[in-house]
Amino acid sequence: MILSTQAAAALARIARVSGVRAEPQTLMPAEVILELSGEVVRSRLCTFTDASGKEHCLRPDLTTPIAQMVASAELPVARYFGSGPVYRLPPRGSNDPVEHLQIGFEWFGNGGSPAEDAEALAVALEAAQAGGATGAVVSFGDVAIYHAALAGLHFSPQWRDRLRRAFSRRKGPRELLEVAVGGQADAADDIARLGALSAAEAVAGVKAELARLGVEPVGRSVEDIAARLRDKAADIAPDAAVSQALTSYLELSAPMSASLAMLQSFSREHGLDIAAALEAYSERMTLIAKLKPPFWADAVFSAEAGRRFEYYDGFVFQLSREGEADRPIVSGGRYDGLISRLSAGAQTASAIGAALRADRLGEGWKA
Amino acid sequence: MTSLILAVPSKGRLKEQAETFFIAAGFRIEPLGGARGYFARIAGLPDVEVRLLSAGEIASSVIAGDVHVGVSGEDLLREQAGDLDRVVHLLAPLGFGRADLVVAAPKSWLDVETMADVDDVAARMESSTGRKLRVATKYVRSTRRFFTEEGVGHYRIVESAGATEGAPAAGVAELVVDITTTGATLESNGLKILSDGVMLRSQAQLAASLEAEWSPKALAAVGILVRGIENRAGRQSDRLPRFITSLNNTRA
Repeated sequence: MILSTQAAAALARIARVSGVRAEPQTLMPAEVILELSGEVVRSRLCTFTDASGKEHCLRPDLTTPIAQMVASAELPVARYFGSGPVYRLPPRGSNDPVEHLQIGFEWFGNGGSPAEDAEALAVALEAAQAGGATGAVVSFGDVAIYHAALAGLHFSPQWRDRLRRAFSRRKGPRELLEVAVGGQADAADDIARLGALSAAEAVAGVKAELARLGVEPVGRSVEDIAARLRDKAADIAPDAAVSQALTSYLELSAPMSASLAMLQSFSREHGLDIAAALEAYSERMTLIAKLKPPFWADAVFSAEAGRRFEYYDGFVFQLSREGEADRPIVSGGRYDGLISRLSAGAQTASAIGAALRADRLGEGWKA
Repeated sequence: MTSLILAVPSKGRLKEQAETFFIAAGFRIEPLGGARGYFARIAGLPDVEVRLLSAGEIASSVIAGDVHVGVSGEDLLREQAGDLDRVVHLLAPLGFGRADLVVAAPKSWLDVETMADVDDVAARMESSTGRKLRVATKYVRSTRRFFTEEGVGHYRIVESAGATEGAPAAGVAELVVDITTTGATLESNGLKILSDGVMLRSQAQLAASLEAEWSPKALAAVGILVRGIENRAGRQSDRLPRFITSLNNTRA
């Protein structure tokens, strides 16, 4: 593919510090994407089925196939960059093309320091500027602070898991908590009582109940059902104050320069121990300020940044024009957990990356 | 197409129910070209062309605008259109072909009553086995939409061609999404409907397409059909005027 002068300039900025050019395949098993992001992405995925029934898809981004190669040890843990077409079916009513040119980098295995966060952001924004982006605003956040807030607030372990999962979903933490405060529908009383028993007694109770119903265990073992009944019995619905604290965290938003003070005062107000996460945040902000990346002076922190992205788990950022937050020019962030997920735990590597949409870089001058 | 094209079911119980329904509303459907033909007319309404199609074809024809109006199940219409209300208006519920689209789990899952339970179990399953919970269904899009609204992730859809209710016992899926009228088939396959797992209470609908070309003649003819149906049901609605307003907005 021939790059426009602007796209080539953006790529050159990235290539200077991003090691080796990766050339991932255009086609990948649909399984990889679906296992990672779930069925919700299927409506955006270009898929087809071969004669044996196996599903393939055109890559929806460069991150996943490159990460997949690292996870399977086809590529060593290192810095990579790339450019090439990626494919996403546009949502109904959108005029976006199915195919667009993506330029980006993925850096693996540096341990994931605030310095690397700062460098990645600066490289991505400088590349966007080299590519001709103008009049755009950075919004950023830190998913690790959400995780720290969850750990620091008095939620049951079950609720912590639920709220962690909900961060990337349309029915988000706020919606989940609204229902929780109203009270959850519970299993019939005599079933719920089984959960108060010891592990062995609960298993015996489940077996007796299945015998009474005249059904065999299907899909899950008696032990698993008994264990979850005990888990449910031990679960405690979050109280209103704790729910309110998490909800108000998600509403936090401030100009870059005021964001640290805002987060610190939030953690004091709610007696939260999130010092480690805030220290990393503070260090990152200092290092970014030293690098003076373009667009950064007007950046806005938002606690919800990175929501609806399945794999970001730390610093996240995007660059978009005013009022077009759903059409980012650049999006990037840290995804330290991805390699482990893709390799089923066989590999781990810290990771950060960013992607630029070549077709949106120059939109500024057209307007 | 200047006259109104109406698609009605060509076979099975739905066909009989539709014919009986239209007769009761004052419209006798008369086949053209023998009993096995695919075209018919309505006695006394020369501006209506009737096409006999399967319920699934009727849904896709109305969505595509190949016919003006059709009789099909709301479940099929919603499954086939990404966003039904943008392309189709339901002019009148017809009171037959009733079926619920539901989420059902094995009865042995004593701990599972709600969609929230499903999400917890799916997350447990993925973290302990590395595999996602599987949902067998013919209703792929409806399932995806409903599970997203209900906040359930960590699942995979297994497309089922038939006998969906047997999937859990056969070991090819854990949950099913299927239509049911009495719940008896699910029940006899060891499945229970989740308390908040009714995705849609479906019935046959007279569905009108915003995508079709509507002539004044076709609009007049659909007005006669809707009036007949509403008189028979003994109630009026503003659905037809609202459809005509949308149609004018679409054209503008």
